[in-house]
Amino acid sequence: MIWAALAGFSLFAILAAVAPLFARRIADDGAAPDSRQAAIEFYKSQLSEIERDAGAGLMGADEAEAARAEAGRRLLTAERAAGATAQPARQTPLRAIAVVLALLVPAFSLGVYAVIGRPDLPDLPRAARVEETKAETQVVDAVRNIEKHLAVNPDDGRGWQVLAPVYLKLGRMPEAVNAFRQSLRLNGESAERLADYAEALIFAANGEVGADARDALARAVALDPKASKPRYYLGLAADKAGDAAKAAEIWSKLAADQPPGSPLAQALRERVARLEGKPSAADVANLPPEARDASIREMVHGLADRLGKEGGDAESWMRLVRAWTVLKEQDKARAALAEARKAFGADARTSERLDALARELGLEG
Amino acid sequence: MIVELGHYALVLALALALVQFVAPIVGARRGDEALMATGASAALGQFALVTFAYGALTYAHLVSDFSVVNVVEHSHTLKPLIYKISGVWGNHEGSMLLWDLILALCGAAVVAFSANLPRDLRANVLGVQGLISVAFLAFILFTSNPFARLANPPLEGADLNPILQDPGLAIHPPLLYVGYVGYSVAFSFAAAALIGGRIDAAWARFVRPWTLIAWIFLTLGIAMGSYWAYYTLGWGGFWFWDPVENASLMPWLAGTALLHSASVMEKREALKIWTIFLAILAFSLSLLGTFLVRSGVLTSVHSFASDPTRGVFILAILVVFIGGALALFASRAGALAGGGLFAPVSREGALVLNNLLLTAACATVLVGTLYPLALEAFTGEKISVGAPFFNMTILPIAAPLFLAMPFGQQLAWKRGDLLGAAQRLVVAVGLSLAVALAALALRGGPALSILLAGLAAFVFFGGFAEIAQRIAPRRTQLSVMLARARGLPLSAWGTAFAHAGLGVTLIGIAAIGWGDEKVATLKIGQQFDIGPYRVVVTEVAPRTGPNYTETVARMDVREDGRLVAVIEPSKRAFQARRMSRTEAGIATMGLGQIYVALGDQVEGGAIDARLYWKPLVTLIWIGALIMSFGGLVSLADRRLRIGVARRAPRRKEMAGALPAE
Repeated sequence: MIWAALAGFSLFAILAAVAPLFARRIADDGAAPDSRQAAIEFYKSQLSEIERDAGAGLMGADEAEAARAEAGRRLLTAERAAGATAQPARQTPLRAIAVVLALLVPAFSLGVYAVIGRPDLPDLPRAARVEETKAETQVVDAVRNIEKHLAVNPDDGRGWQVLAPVYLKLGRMPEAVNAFRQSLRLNGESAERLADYAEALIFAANGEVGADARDALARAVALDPKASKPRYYLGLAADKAGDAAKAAEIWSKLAADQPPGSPLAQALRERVARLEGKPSAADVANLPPEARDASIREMVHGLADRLGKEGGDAESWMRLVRAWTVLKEQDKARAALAEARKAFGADARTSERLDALARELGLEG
Repeated sequence: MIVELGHYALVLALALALVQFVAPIVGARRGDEALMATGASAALGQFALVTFAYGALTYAHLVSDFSVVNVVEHSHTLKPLIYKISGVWGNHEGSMLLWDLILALCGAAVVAFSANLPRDLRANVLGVQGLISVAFLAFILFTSNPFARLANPPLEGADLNPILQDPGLAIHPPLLYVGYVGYSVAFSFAAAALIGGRIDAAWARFVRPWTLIAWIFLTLGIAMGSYWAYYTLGWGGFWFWDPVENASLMPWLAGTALLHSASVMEKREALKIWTIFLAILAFSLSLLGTFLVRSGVLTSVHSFASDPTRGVFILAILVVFIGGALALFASRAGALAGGGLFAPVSREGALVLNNLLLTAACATVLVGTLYPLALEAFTGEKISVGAPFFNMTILPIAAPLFLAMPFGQQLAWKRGDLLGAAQRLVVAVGLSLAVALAALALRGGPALSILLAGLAAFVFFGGFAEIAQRIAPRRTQLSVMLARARGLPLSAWGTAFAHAGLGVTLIGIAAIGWGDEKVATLKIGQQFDIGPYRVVVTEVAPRTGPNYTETVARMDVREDGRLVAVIEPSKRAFQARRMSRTEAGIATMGLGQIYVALGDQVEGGAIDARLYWKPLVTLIWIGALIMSFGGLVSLADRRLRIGVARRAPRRKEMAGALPAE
């Protein structure tokens, strides 16, 4: 269907481009004037205007005479120019041009459209999305009801508290920030509220940690030194500010406070590993090539040592295998793979992933 | 499917624009009718396709199709219908599409209304229009595509900036764009003349209606924008020398200069090079306006684009068109034969003075607008060049211009008589002195307002003095006068109205000095005497709108104890976007206005307000309307549609039978 329509539109454009080329030659005396003839006509009309204005008393006699002389002189010049240079039109291969245009116009358009268009996506008017909208509508309706309620009772702290996380979920960041702020104002500060507020601020700023957010986080930790969320974001703030050591310290402590085996602790240790004692990616990129290579090598060695001594999760091992391969150290890569298999042999899913990795990197056999 | 077809139509339009660029220019060089005709059919086809694309985008906004990024970012299911329509051009991508739609419309209009145009000139004009279309369509498709889609569409959009949800926005940009883009036709005529190598008086007449149309719309657009700023920004001013406003003023000044110099070229074949240059300049400044507003260099409510790649693209367009046109200009200018000679004191001389002053004003605005930007770019230092700079620099340029306007109208072509002109202006001078004295007697000051009022009256009466002179040079019977008035070319009437309109605007500006202003904290029952009126606060209360809450102050406006109007200024807070907006309360009394804008809430719930009495303030915009009307009258002049048509080659004896009124 859409292809038929695209073809129809293309045909229209082709016709607009080539139709005149097939039209019967316009008879010469029926054609629009060229600019030489037009100039002659223009001066003639100017002369007649002068006559008219002078006749109606709108122009002094002297003025009219001077203007008449000038226009007459220009008319003569124009007539001479037109007589001297009437050149015949050259023959143009119109049929050939028509064929080329008829091919080029759709080829160009379809080519461009293939890159930037989405012919696979149908129109999606809101009215046609009833099923999809039902659940969402309920949420939106609820939000709207609470908003109405708050517009009349802007000091209802509970309302703001309920609304704020919903805004965050709907991706309405500025509203979420405001709602959390109102909730703080009306319900008082608690570590949890401060942390939520800071989180909304960070989301609204696309992951950057501003002064407001840092301040709220610091106050949250002061209220409850054990709270996880504010500490996590404080670590992020330090990391963003370029203070890797401090970030690592905060996250390590936070990880140590988690129950063993918790996913949060895993994720945090990952991050700490990435931070510890390693120059940042930007620093590495700025080094001269040999030094950069050495630096990367050093980092990989560091990772290998740590995994060898302390062990680590599957992700870290796989990263190590990959890194050795990139550095063309196939033997070390195989050794690391073997270590990893030893450590995770019992876990079927991880084994499978390790097999897949080995195949991908060509380490089997 | 409609959305994707719209997208494809836009791509096809680009292909046709390429054809429109190449075929007619080659055709004109080879003298080939068929190739030249291709330009016309490609222009019409392109217009049809861009119209379809614009319709498709409007459709997507109307049905809230959130698979289109543009709709997600700038619409909302609950937005009122009119803002769904105006929201299409209330954002960067859509407004560029509107720009291109108007460009395509201009191309189609050239095809439709230029059967009399010399075929080689017409072909070259269409070719240059085609090149402009290529640039803007490529800009839209590759950097600002309004048809970008989302595979996982959200269920609700982000809404339009509340400041932009206003009827003023619905009208202001399209008017302004017709003005901006209209100058592209004048530009194309200039480039076409340079390509074809024929630049004569006839050219000036052909280009005139197009310049006039653009000028009329730009005048209306600027006036509309000024009134919009007046009543929504809540500062009570009508012109802020904001860079975005300056960006529209510069092409207006250049275009006004172009209109005047083209009239010299048409009459006397003089100022050819200068006129061509002005045609290039007017459109270049329109492009520069686009660049300033669209590239996000400026922080203002107008700058809804803030992506540097777009800025670079527009900069490239700017360099190609301005640079290309000027290079073409430089290569041809030397070969142009000089035109008619004239004495310094003559109609031509006066128009040259007009051009010098207008371009000087234009250059001043340009410097004042760009200097802070350049300074910040090179040194990082931020300075603000504001109203004091412009008032101080523009006034010394504008005052002699206003003073010279009536004299210019009185001078004869070729060689004028300054003394005679002055004698003929005695009545106008007398009337304006009377106005100034009356103002002095009634108001007593300030000096600047008195002077400006006199000047305004001089411009106003001087505008009509020429008409009076021409229909009744000496004592004449009424019937003869009427016959002569009918016989006068409409363009003379147009000039009179346009000049008088400027006088009206100036009176409105002069009256600023006679206004009254009070700043107060409102309490119920409080009374203020503002100018000749008494304003009584009857109520201060909160109110809830569909997506905002507001504090409304209800006030009675009384004159001699009689209630003449009720106004409700308010301060709206848009909770969702945490933005607030002042809704000024305005009551129009005759030509003046009572204007009240609420300020911030102070301790204890009271609210600050500014109250103004602005006598004659509406004349500022009424004057602009009269100016546009003058342009319209001039446009209706039959001479602009002279019959140099198809009959020409055969019947040379036609000359005497041209239009008589």
